[in-house]
Amino acid sequence: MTKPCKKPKLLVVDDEVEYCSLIQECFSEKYEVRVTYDGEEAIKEVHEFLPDCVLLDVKMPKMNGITALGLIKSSHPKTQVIMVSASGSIRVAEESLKRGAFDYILKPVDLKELEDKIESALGKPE
Amino acid sequence: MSKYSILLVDDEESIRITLARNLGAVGFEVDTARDGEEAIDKLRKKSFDLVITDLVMEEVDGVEVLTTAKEIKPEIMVIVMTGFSSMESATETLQLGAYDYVTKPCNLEALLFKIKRAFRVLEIQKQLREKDEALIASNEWLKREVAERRKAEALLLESESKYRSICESAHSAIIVADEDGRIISWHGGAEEIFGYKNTEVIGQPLTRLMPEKYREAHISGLKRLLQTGQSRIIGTTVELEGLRKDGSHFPLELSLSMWKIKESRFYSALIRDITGRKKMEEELRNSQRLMIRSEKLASIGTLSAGVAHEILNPLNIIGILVQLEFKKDLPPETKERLEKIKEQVNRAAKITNTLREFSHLKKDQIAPVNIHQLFDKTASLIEHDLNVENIGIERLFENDLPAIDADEDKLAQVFLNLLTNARDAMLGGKNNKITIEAKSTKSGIEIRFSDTGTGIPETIINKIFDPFFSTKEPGKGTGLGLYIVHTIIENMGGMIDVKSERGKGTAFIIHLPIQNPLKP
Repeated sequence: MTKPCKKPKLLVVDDEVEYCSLIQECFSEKYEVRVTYDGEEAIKEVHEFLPDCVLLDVKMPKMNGITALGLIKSSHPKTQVIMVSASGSIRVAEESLKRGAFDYILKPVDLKELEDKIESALGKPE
Repeated sequence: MSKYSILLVDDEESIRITLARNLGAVGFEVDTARDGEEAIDKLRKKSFDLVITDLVMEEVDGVEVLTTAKEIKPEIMVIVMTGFSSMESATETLQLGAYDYVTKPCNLEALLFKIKRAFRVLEIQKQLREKDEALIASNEWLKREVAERRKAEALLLESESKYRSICESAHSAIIVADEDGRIISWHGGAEEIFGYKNTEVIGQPLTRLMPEKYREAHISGLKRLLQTGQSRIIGTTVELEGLRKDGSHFPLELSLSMWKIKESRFYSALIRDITGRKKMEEELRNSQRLMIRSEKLASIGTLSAGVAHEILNPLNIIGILVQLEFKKDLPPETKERLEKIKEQVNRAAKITNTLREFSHLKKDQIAPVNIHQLFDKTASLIEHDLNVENIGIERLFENDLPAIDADEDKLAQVFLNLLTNARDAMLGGKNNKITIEAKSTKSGIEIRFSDTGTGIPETIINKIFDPFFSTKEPGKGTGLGLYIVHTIIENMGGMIDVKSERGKGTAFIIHLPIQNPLKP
């Protein structure tokens, strides 16, 4: 799904507004970044924005990340999702991977690690 | 002499009156009867000591008087008066119980002599009878005494056997000592408790049974008791230490009492070996401590779970801000400080995360867990890290391991924590590996996690399961990993043990029961 002429699209989903804008600041050079603040919005945004990669928070209002992940993967299987969670629970990690997440990263995020994961998600053969 | 009474029987009035007067004149108390019939009548009404009767009388003769008098009062003395014509009959009356006879006409002197002699006999008989009575009485007393003694003996036997059964059943030592503190009796469980046989300790000082540190106090206590009668421990129960024959010390409970026989004092000691009780008390204290500790942590966990999200998100933002600053062209000291801020952010996040896991510890979801599958899943989470560090992982599992009743997440946490610890013990080394062996035992399974890492120093090995105990660099460990492992395994009814050798590695051995005690 790589588009050589255009920047890859990155959707950041998290109810922490400050976090979203920082990620945007950090990656807007490399990617076309949009942010949204809950699970329901994320589903809409995936349909409209058609991101290549989604950074999805687990614990969010309205719809949690795990449910949103399932919906995204069922409607847009090629969209890569990286779960970003404050929870170190094995069960959440397992469940995410089972529902088709590309990877899983813990808060507080290491930007380098996050970038590596985004890159490998984007570079993943279809 | 007047204490004796005489009945005089004669049908000849002149003889009767003369004799009665003469005898009365000498001081005897005399009653008379004019014939046999009247004599018998009087004998029935009054008690006489002596009957003097004519032998030949009309209707009721002297023989009948004699026999009847003897019937009424066997000890009565009878003197028969007879004429020469009836001498033969008179001698016959002796056989019938008459004391003597006199011939008629009566010689007063001879009669008096015989009467006095009769009374003398009566006197002696009376004394004999009294002695007899005394003898009988004392005989009775003796009989009673014997009976009482037998009863007492029976009671003694009974109480002795009771005492013996108490001694033997209580597993207590009952030791009696004299006032010099020398053992004179060694009963009950004394041999079992102290290891000495009766013959080895009788006559020995009590100090033999106590560790050195108690001896001086014992000796001075004994001295004080002898001088002043005061004792601090008599009548109370105290906990002390005992010394066995093999030199080992043990905790004991001592009840001491003192008793006196004449001027001598004796001490009896009831001693109980309380090693078992002490151990139980210690276990209780430990489990109480553990409970308080885990309750404390559980409440911290619950609190953390609530605030973790709220803490981690700001930490996340701080972390990102720092990293963004880091990209700028900054003097090296500033970069160094930013690096430190990032480290501290990670440290705070790690602790918050770990503490939160305690809230999950509460809700157990117990189901049969396949150890092979669970291990596959857990190992896959850390395999990448192990590869990076060049750490091999060897798995030696028995084929038919039974399923274990457990909360799968928690057991996975145990495996992960142990694997992570093993990895951390081998960082930067070469040819390191983790070996995991699992085998079934009688009641469950045993899993052994061995590493070839640095080992745990002996000085801290007792603390490794304590919460917040960590040897890792600040920010690397929370000090909760092994505590969580320990808590999870204990809650499962299992056990964890550690064996470590400096420079060679450490092995954690966990025993898990098939059946979880928390299973509903």
